[in-house]
Amino acid sequence: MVISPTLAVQPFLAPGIAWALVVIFSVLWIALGVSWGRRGSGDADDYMLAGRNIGLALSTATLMASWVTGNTTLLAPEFGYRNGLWGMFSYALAGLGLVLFAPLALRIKTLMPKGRTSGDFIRLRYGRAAWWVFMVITATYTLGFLMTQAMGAGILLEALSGFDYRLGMVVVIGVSTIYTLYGGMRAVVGTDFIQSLLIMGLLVLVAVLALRQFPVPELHRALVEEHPERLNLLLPAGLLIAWNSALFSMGEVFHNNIWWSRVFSSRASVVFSSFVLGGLAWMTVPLVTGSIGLVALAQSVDLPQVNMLFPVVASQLLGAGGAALVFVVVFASLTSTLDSLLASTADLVAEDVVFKLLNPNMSDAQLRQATRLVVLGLGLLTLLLSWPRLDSLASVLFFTGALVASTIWPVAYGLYWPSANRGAAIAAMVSGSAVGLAAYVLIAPYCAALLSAAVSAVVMAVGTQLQPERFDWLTLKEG
Amino acid sequence: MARFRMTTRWALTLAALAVLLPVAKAGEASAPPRWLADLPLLQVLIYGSVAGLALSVLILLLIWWKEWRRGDVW
Repeated sequence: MVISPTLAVQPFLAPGIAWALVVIFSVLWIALGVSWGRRGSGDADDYMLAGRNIGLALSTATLMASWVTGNTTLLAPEFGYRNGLWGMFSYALAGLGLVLFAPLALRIKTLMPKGRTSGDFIRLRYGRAAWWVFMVITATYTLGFLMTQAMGAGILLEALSGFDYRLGMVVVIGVSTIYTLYGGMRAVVGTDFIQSLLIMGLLVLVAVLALRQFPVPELHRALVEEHPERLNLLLPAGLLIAWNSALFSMGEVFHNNIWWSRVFSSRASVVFSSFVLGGLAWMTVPLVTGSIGLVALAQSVDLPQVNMLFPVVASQLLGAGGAALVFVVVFASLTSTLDSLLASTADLVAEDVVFKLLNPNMSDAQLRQATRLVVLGLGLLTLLLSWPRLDSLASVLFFTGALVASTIWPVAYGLYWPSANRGAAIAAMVSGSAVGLAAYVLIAPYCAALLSAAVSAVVMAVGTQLQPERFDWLTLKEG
Repeated sequence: MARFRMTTRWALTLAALAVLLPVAKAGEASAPPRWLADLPLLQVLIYGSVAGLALSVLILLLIWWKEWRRGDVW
């Protein structure tokens, strides 16, 4: 089946169907989120960390759903389209971040049984100065992440249903903010379970239907004839992109409170398994969505905007039903990631800034209230920052890679080596970020995380060797 | 003695250049490495990832069902 080259200008979903889907899933998420939020003891720990006792199914699903972002469904096909097989591999390698974090997660759970955030760890382990550097990095990354999700929402709804870019954005951010605000982490984890099943199940369905219409032998033949370089497994730039992606994801997972909050929320016995299972299962998603990019390439589709590729191609292959399926998949991906970002970032700001920095005498009820206000504030801030539309999500994403990769070694060293030096941790984060950003501007975006992590590793190791400290692990129990 | 050391260093540098320059030039002229994925490999990749995703859904549902029966979900 040949896809029309003049696509994407016309919406593929009738506005009535699109609105019906938006209303159905918005009401479902809000109702379930509010209902689950009413469970539990109602204290700050329950609101921020879902009672610290979630099992393997919910823990794995929430990791999957949070890591399957709007980028995974919109950007992974773009990677396949632009870079071929290596583009798909490189995106899939981002799952390594979750798998490699598994032993660290177990260690965090053991060392910090009362911990709430990644900021707690950095402050107790390396002191307030390192905490400031860390907070600047994590704030920049989180805002970039929130913006890519919000922009993805606007772009998706516009591509599929003809909604105005800003209207789609307001709907997705609004729904995520409402159920996170009322239900806290319980709402996030509970809805994530259903969202992850929806995403994975519907992706399988879309893939099977698409491959029946456009079989792999036909795809292979077209690629060999027209774009053989996309099938080249010995692509030097591909290797570079792949390892940059793996290090970028390690930086994202190792430092960000989305993943730390999942560690604190989960039962100790399931922490390790959930990160391994979640990471391995996640790796299949960009390979499946990336294949759609190859299909578009094989058909020489003329795309007005390359990050619309997945919804556009699925709609062309499968008609209105395909558009509806993709709409649900991406709507679930966006809301599941946005709710996680909102909840975990609100935890970080409320616990680390409002409570530990500004008002240490705050009561439990006040902390809970502060967390809710931060959720609301973050939702509004995301809306404001994403109002002007950027053409490529990749430009936003790679920029933050330079920053987060610099935190990998300070976090890993700090969890295992009592000798890790606090001055070295600060220098590692600052120098790694600076070199990574320079590489982003002067060399290429996909070198940023690689160089940032390498410089940070050297600075951390040398600084610690020169001036080793003697850290008492019991200090972390306070967190 | 110092002069001897300088001369030796220059001689070693020139010898190294004499060996390495032709190798570098030969590398420059040769085509970039190429290994195209064949059809069976592409099939394994695409069908394998779809099967892996389907299996993940089943495993997740199975774990949830077992935990739900034990009252261990939350």
